Amino acid sequence: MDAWRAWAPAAAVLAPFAAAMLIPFASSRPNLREAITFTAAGALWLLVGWMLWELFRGRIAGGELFALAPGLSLAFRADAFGLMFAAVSSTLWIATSSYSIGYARALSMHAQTRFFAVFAVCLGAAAGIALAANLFTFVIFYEILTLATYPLVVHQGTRKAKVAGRIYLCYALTAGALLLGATAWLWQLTGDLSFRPGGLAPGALDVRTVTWLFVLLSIGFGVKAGVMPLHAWLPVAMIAPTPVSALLHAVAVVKAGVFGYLRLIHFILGPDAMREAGLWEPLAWVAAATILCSSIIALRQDELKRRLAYSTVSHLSYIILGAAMLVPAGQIGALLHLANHAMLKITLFFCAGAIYVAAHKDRVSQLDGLGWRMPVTFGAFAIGALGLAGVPGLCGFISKWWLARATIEAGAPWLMGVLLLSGILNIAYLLPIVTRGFSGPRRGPVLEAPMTMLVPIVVIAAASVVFGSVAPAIAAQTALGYRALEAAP
Amino acid sequence: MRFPDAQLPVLIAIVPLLAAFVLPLIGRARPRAAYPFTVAVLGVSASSALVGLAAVAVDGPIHYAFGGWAPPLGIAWRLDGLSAFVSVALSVSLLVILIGVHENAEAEFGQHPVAFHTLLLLLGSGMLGLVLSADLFNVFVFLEVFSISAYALIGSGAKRGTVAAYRYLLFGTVGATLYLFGVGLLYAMTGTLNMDDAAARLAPLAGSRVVLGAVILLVTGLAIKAAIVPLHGWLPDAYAYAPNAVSAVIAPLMTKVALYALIRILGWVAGMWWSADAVVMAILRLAAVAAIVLGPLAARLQTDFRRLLAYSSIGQIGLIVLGISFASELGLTGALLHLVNDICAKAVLFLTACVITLRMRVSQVSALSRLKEPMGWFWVMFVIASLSMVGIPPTLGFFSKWYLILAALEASRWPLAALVVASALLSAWYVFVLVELLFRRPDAPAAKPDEVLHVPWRMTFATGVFAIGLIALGLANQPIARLIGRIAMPPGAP
Amino acid sequence: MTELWAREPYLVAWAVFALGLALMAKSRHLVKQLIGLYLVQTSVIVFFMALAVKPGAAAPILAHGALHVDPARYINPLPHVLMLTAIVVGVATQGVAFMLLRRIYQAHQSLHETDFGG
Repeated sequence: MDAWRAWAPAAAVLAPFAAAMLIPFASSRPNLREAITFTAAGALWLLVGWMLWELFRGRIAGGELFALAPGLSLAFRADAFGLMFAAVSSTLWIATSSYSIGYARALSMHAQTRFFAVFAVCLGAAAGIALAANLFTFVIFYEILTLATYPLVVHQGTRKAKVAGRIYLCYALTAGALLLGATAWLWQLTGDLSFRPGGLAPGALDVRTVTWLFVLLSIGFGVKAGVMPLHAWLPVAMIAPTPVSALLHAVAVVKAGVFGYLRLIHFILGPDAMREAGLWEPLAWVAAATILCSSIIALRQDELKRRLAYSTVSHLSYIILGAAMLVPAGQIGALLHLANHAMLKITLFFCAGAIYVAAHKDRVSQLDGLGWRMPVTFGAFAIGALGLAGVPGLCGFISKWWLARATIEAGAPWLMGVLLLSGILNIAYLLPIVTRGFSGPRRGPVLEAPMTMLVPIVVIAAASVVFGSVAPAIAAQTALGYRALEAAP
Repeated sequence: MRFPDAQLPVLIAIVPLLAAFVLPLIGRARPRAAYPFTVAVLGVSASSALVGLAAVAVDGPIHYAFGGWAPPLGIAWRLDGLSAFVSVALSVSLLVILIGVHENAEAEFGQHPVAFHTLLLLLGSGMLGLVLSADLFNVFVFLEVFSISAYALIGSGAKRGTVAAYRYLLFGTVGATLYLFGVGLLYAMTGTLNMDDAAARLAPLAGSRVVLGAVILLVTGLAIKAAIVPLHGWLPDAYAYAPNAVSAVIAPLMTKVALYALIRILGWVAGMWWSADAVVMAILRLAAVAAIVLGPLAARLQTDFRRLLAYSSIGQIGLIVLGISFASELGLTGALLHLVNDICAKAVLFLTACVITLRMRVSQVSALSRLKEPMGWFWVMFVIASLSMVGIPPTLGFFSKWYLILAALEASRWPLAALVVASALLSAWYVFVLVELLFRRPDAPAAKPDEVLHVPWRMTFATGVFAIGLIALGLANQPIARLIGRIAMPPGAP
Repeated sequence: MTELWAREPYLVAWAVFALGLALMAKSRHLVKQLIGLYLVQTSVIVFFMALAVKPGAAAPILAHGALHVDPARYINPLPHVLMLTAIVVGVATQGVAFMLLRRIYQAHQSLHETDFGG
């Protein structure tokens, strides 16, 4: 059992990579190919679930694998933070796999083998990021994720897609370079890159060094986390097929950036060092500005996916804000919002894709009356929209409540104002889509997207409701949050 | 020492040399036997090198004195950690690349297989002989052996290739002559040509300007051969216009031999200056910085695929020289790992150029976009090699850069650490232009029948070996680095 | 040894080297460049020959049956041996160079650089 616990995270990370290597061999038999994806997703999900089970019984899975550089090893550790991210990614991968199969077949998408193989690599990298035990392992998988996402962004092969790919790489590789430099510097200074709860020992590094490290790592993570002004790649990357936008650019890639922030604030530098260097306020300001600015920009977007992209930028900064406030409630809020936003946003993206597949519309202005023809899709969209706005009864409210509590605990009530204002803006830019959909007379028969796409939409929307209203689900979330603080529930 | 071990240096470098003399005789009767014969001989060489590395790792250096004359009177060869490591890299790569370019060699040298393979054997024995030699003048001889073979091979191509070869000949021979001048000065100061003996006699002469001049001459001569900026002018044309089969062999390997000689002389002969503050190291650092910046920038401007790769090589050589200039364990480890990285990655990329030219008879970068989908395994190798050039984990390129960054930080040279990090971005700039071309629109016109790329199995095999090698060596870089640290460091290194 | 710069043979060697290099750099005609290269190669031979000289020494040919050899009475034969090798290397290089020149002439009908681009 001990050996299994030491190897479980490695196995979890390896499963998607193994799938990526097998998928090309099944290129001529699509059903077999898709089965490989599902098997890997299932294996990942089971392993993550098992590690969660072990976590709740007080045992953390993980161990060092082998040395990759002098004094640095590839090491995994399945703590609450990592498992939350891994659980979100793995669960949603199963849903997205079903969705993308429907999407790809409905649109006769080209190069599907390449698509699914690279998708698996992305998930493997995300799992590696989630379960990494030290910054070196983290950075390695972070870079792999950057590269693995590229073929998906340029999948269409059009001029626009390639330009989007170049912009994405420009941002992401520069960020990766800064991360690498900061990691080497930190290694040279402290000789230890492992993630420790509470971060640096007090007095380990002087304020100036801490500030510089923070700046470098912030920019490094900030690109993926959509912190303004490093966010510009995300709306451009919406050119990718919708399953890519849904899982990667709403869940895996951007959450990896935000997860980096969580690790940075609580496990690398630590709240004490951050407080001492006076870093939490500037970060909170930047996060607050991002939340509001991107919401306002979202109002002006007509392209549905771009509107959702700016909404994502906004909500990512919710998470960063929660972490930046350095109080336990903020940490819990950040962690829960990572999961809740993922569920809600993926629902919205799935709906956008369904609308495109069924009705070939991708702009908000074209959606009039479409709701009558696609009631399930638009209903799910409504749930997602309300959830993001923080309406009680949906999961979004739970994480927002923790974040609001954190603003009080941190002594920054003005941040609560930001949260409230943002909630209103969320309604402003998301609800019109629903209202327009159900405005006017019905123009045709009910014509939803295929079942492979509709089922994941309904399931995840239902999950959002469950995690927002059903008591045991809420309790489980809260328990995991407390676990994350390494304290007993 | 057991019999085979003591003869390993001979098996590695002299067998190809002797084979080069035998091959024309065999070739008179059976020209088609040239290829299998060469493969067999290089196989002997490569396996001897591997055995040699294992033997050195366990038992220590193996010395071989020609004719039984003990050094310092006789010519001595030495198989120690550094030469074993480099000889394995060179001999294995040479063998695999030769197998990979077989189809191109058939197309370009089909009428003269004996000539091609004989020159190739001379090239190989020249390179390996230099690596094993522990005698300064002997190094010169083998330097010229492989250089002259290279001039001939490059010049056997089309018009521009001949002119490029001629320029390379002029430039390269000046370099060798400078090297010889340096050897002469060292001989005047120490009275010996044997490397170890010279090192011992030079130690008390550390302040001598003449010795410094000699070392600078040696370094300059080798810098020309290694194409270190600003002495790199011969390289782009030579790589771009040589026959494809030739550039695939020469481009990954040739400059690395000169870099090895540079390490050997700076670390083992002029060892009293093995320190990051020495004048020679400062000059090398300056040249390295210029190369790291200019190489990728120039590469980006190229439309010819192999010229792009040539400038890319110049940049990578800059990184290797930077690692050498730190004169530390981290720096030299980074340099050696990056050397292997460049060999493997460039081998794949030049083999790709071979494949493109094989079917499409063009060498423009844009040709990549006219290739038929779907992506086969060959293109996966291409992408892996490209990623290794940029330095993306888990390829070897990432880890070699990690060592170089650490070496720079250790020497408190922050701008250089930032430069190594930035070099990844500069490389990405031109690499992704290539990778981008592989993504075609679904409605783009299908390739004409003669543009459909059937990659020969040998090519897939060869690129596969290198690509898998890049990932395997990357993941296994720790044991390799420890081995290098244990057996391949200069004596008296910090 | 510090008179390396002062003694005439060394000066001759450096001068020939510089001359050869200048010829290679300045000339646009391939054969003249080759001549320059030949001068460069020759200069190093002169240099090594100069290294071998000792004041008042004879050629390194031993009398038949001589047992005791006083090194100071004979010039150093080793540089001569080395230069034999260097000459052979030079010949090989020149041979290849001529072969390349012939091919260039066959292709371009000219050996002047300006006729086929820099």
